[in-house]
Amino acid sequence: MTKVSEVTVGSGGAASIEFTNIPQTGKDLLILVSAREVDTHSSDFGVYFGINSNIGGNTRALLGTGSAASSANNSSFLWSYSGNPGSGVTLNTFGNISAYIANYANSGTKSMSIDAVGENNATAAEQAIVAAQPTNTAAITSLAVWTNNLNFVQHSTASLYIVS
Amino acid sequence: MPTSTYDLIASNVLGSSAASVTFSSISGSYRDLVIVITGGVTSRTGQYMTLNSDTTDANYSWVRATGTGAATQSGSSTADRSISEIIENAANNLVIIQIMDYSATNKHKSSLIRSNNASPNGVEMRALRWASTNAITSINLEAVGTTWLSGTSFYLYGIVS
Repeated sequence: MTKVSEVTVGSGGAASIEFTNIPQTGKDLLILVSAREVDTHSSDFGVYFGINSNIGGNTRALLGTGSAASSANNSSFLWSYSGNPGSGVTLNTFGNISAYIANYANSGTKSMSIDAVGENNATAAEQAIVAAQPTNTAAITSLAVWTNNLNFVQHSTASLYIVS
Repeated sequence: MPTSTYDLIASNVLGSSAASVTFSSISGSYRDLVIVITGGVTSRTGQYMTLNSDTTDANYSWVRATGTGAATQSGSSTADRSISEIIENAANNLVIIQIMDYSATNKHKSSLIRSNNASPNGVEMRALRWASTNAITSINLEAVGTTWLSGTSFYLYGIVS
């Protein structure tokens, strides 16, 4: 596993973090995200994934809040469901997201395995495991994470790794 | 941010359908093992992971939680080698198996298994225990009563100590 790049959001915030010109030398990709967004919602949201600038895809998720479990699906977007708390949650708490993408350098159907967890220094914090399938089937040369709304806050990070 | 180092130990990309895939003579020089499977099976009849050729189901137990997209499910068994309930006859399955401390001889072996089928079956997490203190030297992945599809890939990684 080799780190390709790491991005830390600066003082102005950023609506997205994008990795471009991804080397086509590996088998799988792993992206790790530490995120918080400016939006004023009081709970945890997810991030959108952009595969070659396309966020289309199918997802199915298993969610837990600390007191209840549920399942959800989305046939429009690549969505992590969790891991991106807003400014309404405890100051300085960030969510975490891990997304594994197999066979990224090949064209054809691809699958993603996503783990996401929010943080709120409280009795409940949402967590999710997600199966995702991007609509875009081309070899992945760029990968982005978009916030739910407005910007990622300063100190949010994303790191991209190649598994060879 | 710390980086785990994966070493590719072995791989098998099926040129034609096959009932099972075996990784053998696995060195004990790594900390943990990771298996990544992408592809699918001819029919959804279950898949086994057999360690060191031990086919005694009573030596395996598991617990799982599944999200279908519409409902949650949970299940368990105290005598079964199954690794997933959701792997489908399609190419969009992704299964990641982590086997911790696989070469230890003083503990039973535990594994975490994530199965992903974004459409139509959902997502599953599973913990599977093999009640043996033997170091793992071989792993067989079997499509029970059916075959793995041609093109399905199996990669075995060792995580460097």
